[in-house]
Amino acid sequence: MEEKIRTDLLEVNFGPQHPATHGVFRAVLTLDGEIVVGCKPVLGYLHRGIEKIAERLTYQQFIPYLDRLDYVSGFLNEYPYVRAIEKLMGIEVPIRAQYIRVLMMELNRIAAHLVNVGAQGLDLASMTPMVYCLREREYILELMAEVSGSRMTFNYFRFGGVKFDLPEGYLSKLDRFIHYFKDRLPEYASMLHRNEIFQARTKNIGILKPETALKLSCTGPTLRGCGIARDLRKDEPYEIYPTLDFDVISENTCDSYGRFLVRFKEIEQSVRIIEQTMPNLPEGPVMAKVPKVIKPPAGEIYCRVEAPIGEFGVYVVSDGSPKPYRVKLRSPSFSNLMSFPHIAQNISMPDVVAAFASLAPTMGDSDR
Amino acid sequence: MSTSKDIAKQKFGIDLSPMPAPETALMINVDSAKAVETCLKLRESGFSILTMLTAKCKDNGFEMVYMLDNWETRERVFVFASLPAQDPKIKSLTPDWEAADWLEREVYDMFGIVFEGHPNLQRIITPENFTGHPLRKDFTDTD
Repeated sequence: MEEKIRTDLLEVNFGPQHPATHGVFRAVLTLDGEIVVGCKPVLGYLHRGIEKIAERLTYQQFIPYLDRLDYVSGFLNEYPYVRAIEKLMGIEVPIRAQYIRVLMMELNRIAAHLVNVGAQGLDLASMTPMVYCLREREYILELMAEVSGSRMTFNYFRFGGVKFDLPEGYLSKLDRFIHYFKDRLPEYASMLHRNEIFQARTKNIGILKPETALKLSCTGPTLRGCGIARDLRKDEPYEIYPTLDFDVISENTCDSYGRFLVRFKEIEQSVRIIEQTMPNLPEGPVMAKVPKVIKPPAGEIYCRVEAPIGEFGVYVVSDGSPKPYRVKLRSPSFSNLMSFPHIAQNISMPDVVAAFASLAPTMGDSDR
Repeated sequence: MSTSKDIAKQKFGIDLSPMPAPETALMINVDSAKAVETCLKLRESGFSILTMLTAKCKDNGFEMVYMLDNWETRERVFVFASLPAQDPKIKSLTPDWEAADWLEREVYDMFGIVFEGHPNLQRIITPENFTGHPLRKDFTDTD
């Protein structure tokens, strides 16, 4: 008589100190053999109390902290906060400053997407694309450092404009980079999504249905990978975006592959935006006249931006004093991560890693 | 296409008023017992995305803030509900609207507001053995 083999469910900790968790994320996975049947995310390992810090600082002093949220896209984190205060105080931003802001935000989007796109390869055990992506990102970081003085923690946007004007000869440098960079994109494609192994590991894996994504308020490439073309740059345009010509990318595949492809194609769109912005950059001041002490009138406002991960929003409550009364940071990683248990259901353990990378969360952003 | 504001008025008798400038969203103040019900009615009126759920200290008590979005008509609505300082509780939105899950846990963690009926009301950002609720105005450092 054949003896029955007894099987048992196994609980495994994925993270927090694991290179594929993009920081310090932990998921308690329940495994049935190789297949994940349960997933319980645990977060908070990178909590620094940034919302509480805001209440103890003046409005200007809080700007540098925003760079440390999603540390790969500092400009995009600074923007909605700065914009919120400008709206509360009724400050008009000079047109040149608006152009510079968009230029920097799109450069930053490319840098952030390069990290995420490269990491997707890395999490599928292919190291080369990551190294290539970081090579080009290094150029961008230097370009951003030349303007702001810092590679990642910029502290560059100010209420009423930006801190410095572009240095001399900056646009020709940027132009040179864009030319060089455009030729690199097919190179990435051949290593990433045109690679058969990559496709086998991402297609039809990590399925997120559009109705689930909407139910969970997912935004950004996570949502656009489900075929819903929602992009705040088009739907609620800010700064000079209405004058720019670019496409909102969406993919109908609803899997890891689709979410990856959205990110990859958005790099091309950001390049398009930069190419349109550079020749039209107007002359003029980069700062509006603003009072020395920032004291917005009592009131509240919500301002949002299309960050590389999704909708990043800042809800500011002012009581008329020089310090914010309450700052709520609506982080896209936090809401997108809620979909992780859905994505990680009934796929194998190594695929969980790849599916997680396709959400591309930043733990600094989700834990705040 | 009629706006969600009109639908909410006609179908449910919910009167949405504009927020004070410069905020362009709509708003409504409701009794805390009716907050969840109002959110769900607004959801049926077309505000189908729960973008933000948070709280703030207000007048020695708390105020819940729900922000709902209608992406088609580009309308946005704030739902405010006041809670007392002592023993603040409110019905949970999570059983009906999954997006509220972690957001309510975060508010519980940061403000100590209890969401009745939440399936898993545990701290999410701070460690389990943490005491106090950091975003309360009377919070003092624990160490």
